[in-house]
Amino acid sequence: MKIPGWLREESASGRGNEAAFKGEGFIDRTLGNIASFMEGAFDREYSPGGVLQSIEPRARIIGIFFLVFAAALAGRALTLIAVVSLTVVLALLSGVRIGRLLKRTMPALVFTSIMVAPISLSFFTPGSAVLNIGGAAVTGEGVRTGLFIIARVGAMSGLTALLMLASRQADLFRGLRGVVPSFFVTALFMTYRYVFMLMKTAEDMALARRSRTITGTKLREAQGWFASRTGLILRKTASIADEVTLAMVSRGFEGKIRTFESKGMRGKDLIFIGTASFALFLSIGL
Amino acid sequence: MHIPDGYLSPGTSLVFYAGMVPVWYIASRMVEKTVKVKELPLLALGGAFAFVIMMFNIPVPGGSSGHMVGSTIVAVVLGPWAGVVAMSLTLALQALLFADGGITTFGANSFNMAFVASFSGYYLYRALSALMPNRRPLAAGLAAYAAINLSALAAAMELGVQPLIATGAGGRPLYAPYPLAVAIPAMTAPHLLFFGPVEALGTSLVVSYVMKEGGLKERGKRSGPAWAFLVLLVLLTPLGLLASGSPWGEWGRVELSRLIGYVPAGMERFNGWKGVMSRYTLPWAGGGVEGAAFYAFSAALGSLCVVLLVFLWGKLWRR
Repeated sequence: MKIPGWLREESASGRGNEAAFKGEGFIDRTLGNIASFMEGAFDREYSPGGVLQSIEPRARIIGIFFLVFAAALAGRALTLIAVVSLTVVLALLSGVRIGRLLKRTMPALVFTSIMVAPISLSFFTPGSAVLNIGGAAVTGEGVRTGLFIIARVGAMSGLTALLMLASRQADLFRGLRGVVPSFFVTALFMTYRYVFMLMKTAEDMALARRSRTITGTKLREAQGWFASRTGLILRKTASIADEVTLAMVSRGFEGKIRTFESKGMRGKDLIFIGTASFALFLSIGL
Repeated sequence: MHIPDGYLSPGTSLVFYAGMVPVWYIASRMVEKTVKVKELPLLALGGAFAFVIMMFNIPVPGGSSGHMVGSTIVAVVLGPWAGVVAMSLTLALQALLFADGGITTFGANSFNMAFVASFSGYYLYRALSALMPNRRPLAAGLAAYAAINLSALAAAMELGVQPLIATGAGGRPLYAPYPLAVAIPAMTAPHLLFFGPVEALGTSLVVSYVMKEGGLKERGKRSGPAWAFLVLLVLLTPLGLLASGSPWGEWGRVELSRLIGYVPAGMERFNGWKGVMSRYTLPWAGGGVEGAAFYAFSAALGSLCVVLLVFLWGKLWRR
């Protein structure tokens, strides 16, 4: 079968037409956002035998929060190095690969590095010049200030990433239930569940649009597509909420949140909290 | 606009947590009245909708695109209090599970994107749609533009005060390093010129579509000027962070003596509670290794108290 001439022409395919391709970039970016969300949501390294995993979820969350606050309070690089080292040791003992931990921490580190880069210049931080770039002097004090802020962000986001990687979602929600009111945790858990449902709907919509687009579309049409799809998701949201409410009411839900009784903390859970709070108190003055 | 961990000092983070706890409490009580707890799924799905809407890129002239936050839409659909809860749920999920935003900065992020954006967006929409009842999509767009910019301004102020309130040796900034003069234009300019118009366009398009197709009703009641006054007061609260020196009336004896030339006799007699281990040491402890040892001991003592409290709390929780 002979391919028609109009299909062989590059400009007619939409790919060769720069303006038209740009016009559809928002679909690609939307799909990219959704793919990145899915990758993040299922990026877990759960080793049942690990140290962190063996800690009761409430104690795990409280302990990690204490360490995060220890990094927040740290006034010296040495303290931050100690927190980072502790994070690495905890990750190794919990069977979480360092590469995976770094991958999770990288976006915050890259963003912070870009954000604090100008602080190394003499314009923001006067001091002894170590480098001259096109008339702007990079000062030693500025570099140290920037590195300190990057280290703090790295330490704090590393600990959060470790908590996520070493915990099943069910454990996280169970742990939160002991720390914040049930109303919020139940709503948070339901939000998490329905994010996936709505995200799948959004992905299907974007994929359907992408697969049916040969040439580019006009801006107004593209905006109309966005409005109709978002409006549709909003209506679907309300419709699912009504259905779920009816289902819950028919099963006896009267507005009161009932939860399973949580287990008491064991010795090693208390030791973990104690060690983390010890690090927190130490960091206050260091 | 999500402020990551490490950008705000612990003091600032605690201030915003302390400020948001009553807001969350009032919001949950208000939600019980207006949305009913039975409609918990609507709240959860509102949060899920806000999450998903952030994934959508909106095409803008020039071939570029950007994503919106969606606080105004959620507030208009659910009402402002439920909007605060729904947006807070979204931010909590993003911080906890996807490392977008931080744990310590969750209070501040909720203040900016859940509280400021929801309330300003909702009430501006109500006011503008009363002025132009036939142009509700335009009213929603303008409200969303103002809301996202107010939210960005709040974030800029939080970041910009850090060099004033948290510095290390030699005035070195320990957290967000840029002063207000840099942080405010750096944060607000992109929101005024790009993200604000994207938010306005997206909100306007969605409201226009929903109005055309019908279906969703707006929630919430008109509130009197008292709420507007309260919101204004809360918005002005961070200005207190700019103040230098001790808060009025909280002067120490030395500071008071410097201010008025003498220390009142009553204060002179009452030295005040100094704590068991003032300045994390004991009165007879020396400096150097001994001081460090007592410092570590005070940290261990504090930890022991925390463990004891957690243990007791765990026992009470089980009852």
